[in-house]
Amino acid sequence: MVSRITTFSFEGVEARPVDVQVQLSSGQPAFLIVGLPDKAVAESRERIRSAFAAIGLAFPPKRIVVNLAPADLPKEGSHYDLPIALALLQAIGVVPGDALHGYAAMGELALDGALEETVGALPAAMGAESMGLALVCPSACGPEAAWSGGRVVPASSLIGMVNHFSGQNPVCDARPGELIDAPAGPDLRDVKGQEGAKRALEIAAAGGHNLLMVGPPGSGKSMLAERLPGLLPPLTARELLEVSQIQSISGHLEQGRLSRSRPFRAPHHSASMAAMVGGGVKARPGEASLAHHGVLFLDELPEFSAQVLDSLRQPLESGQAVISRANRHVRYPSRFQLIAAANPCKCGGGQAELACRKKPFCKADYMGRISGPFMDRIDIFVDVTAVTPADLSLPAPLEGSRDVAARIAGARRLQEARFENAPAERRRLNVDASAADIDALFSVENSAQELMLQAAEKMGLSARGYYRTLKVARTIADLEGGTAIARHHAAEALTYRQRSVELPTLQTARS
Amino acid sequence: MSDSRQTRQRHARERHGRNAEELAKWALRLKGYRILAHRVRYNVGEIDLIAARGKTLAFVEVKARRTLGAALDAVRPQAWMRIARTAEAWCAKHPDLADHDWRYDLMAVTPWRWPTHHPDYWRPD
Repeated sequence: MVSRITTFSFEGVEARPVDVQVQLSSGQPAFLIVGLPDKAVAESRERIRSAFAAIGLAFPPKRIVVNLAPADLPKEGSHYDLPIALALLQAIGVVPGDALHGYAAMGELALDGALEETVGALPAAMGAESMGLALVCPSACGPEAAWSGGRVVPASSLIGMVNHFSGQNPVCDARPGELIDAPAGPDLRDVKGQEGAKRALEIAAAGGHNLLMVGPPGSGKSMLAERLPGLLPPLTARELLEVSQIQSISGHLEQGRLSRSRPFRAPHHSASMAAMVGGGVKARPGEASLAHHGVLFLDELPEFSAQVLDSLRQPLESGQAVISRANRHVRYPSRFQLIAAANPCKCGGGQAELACRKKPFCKADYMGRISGPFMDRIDIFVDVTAVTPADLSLPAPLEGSRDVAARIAGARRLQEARFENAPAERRRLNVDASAADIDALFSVENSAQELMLQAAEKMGLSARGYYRTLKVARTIADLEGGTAIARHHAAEALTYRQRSVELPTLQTARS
Repeated sequence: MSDSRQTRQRHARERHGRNAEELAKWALRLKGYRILAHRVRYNVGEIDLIAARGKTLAFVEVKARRTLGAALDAVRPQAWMRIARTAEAWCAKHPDLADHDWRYDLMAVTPWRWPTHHPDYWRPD
């Protein structure tokens, strides 16, 4: 007789059903777990043994074989303890024969039989819901799992589960955790001066464009970037679910509380490739995935290693981070908005870039660390000049984050309507428009078209560069109420293109 | 021809052990076990007693010591492994017992006390 229960293994944010089968047979007493368990799964033997001893149960002197099917899928993590223990309890007759029918389970056992929090409860609960099963999970994960909308049984200990399944003391279903409001972030009103940079930030926020701010230290680049989440509209229900799944897998959801504010991730420039796009032993999501539907802020962009930056090119293009392993690929969604900041050169530049003694080569060297293809994916380049004392003495600007956010929300509504029929996995933003969308949905005035063509020729815009400029122009027009792209919209968009560092010829440098 | 002192001592211990096993046998019988074999010896090792009750086979190691503690500590893991290997060899010759559960028990025999039975004293994993 084989007793069985369903659990899940995680591939990216997807929960794959795993059938836990327990069979008892006579012969040499043994406890075997088969089905490609990793170390943490194989060790669950000892945890289950202790937990059983803690509730006064001994293993029967039998040959116990636990199979995790499909047997060729590697099983990682500690959440297999509870399903194995439950199936075993049924096999030895502590839990009635059909009690586990209609249930899936996940959770780690402590030696005293208590259940410990594990990651991935939300994707597991969604997987269980889609299969029409109720999920048994540690009570600490209950509020998080309950967001799936399915039935979730929070388990605080193994003995509690025995009482639940034998009908002596049924446990109430878990309730979803609270939805916390976005905490009030810093206000754009605190930034004095920098009108040009603020405008660029507003455009970037409205259309989801990638932005690079270049300016000397202390000019307010980081200050501006920190104010971006306050400008963005809250996550939609669908986006919230995607973001929460990633947070659940990486263990970032505390007490099942979800937040509608967009993620803002600011990794340090010493970050490794695994930290950025995901990886490690268990193929965890990286910063690029944690910033899904939010903002990835890279301060001191040229200080990041070239390899790390180039690893971001693929997620930037496809909206997915793919981690390749010897026997499989793990995919995490990572559709983020890239905001980067850089000093103009290694020396920092200072006021009007006078402090640099090695200019202009210093600047060319420093910016040259960032590869061309990476730069090509940045839509808006903006110089953030140093703040003068005169700027600081000015009164605070009248316009705060709230006014700007309202304009951005308006522009986003226009985009929402425009990309109504776009595929579901794409954001409804100008930045994600395909070339076909641009031809079909962007109305461009003739004068603007002319200007674009002239500029493309003069500035040597690539096809990608041309389309990206057009998308920025579309966003600018959307901020003004969504008319056709006029000449002045195109002109402003063109000013945000990257300008190469002008190097003097060798002769002028010598003179 | 007189035996050396060492040989005499060994014989004394042997006799002592046999007496303990006889006592253990009776103790098990009183608990409802059937004794299937005793002193099973193969080249992989030996088992003092093999008993059965219901669908359970008990491979019993009998230890006679002055104190209970000494008896409980007397069998080392390597010795148990030899017993387990012997059990496999013995069961291979008894296919009619294939549906029984296996258990490794310890019987501690101490002076002027009834032997104490410790079921499921050791497991192979």
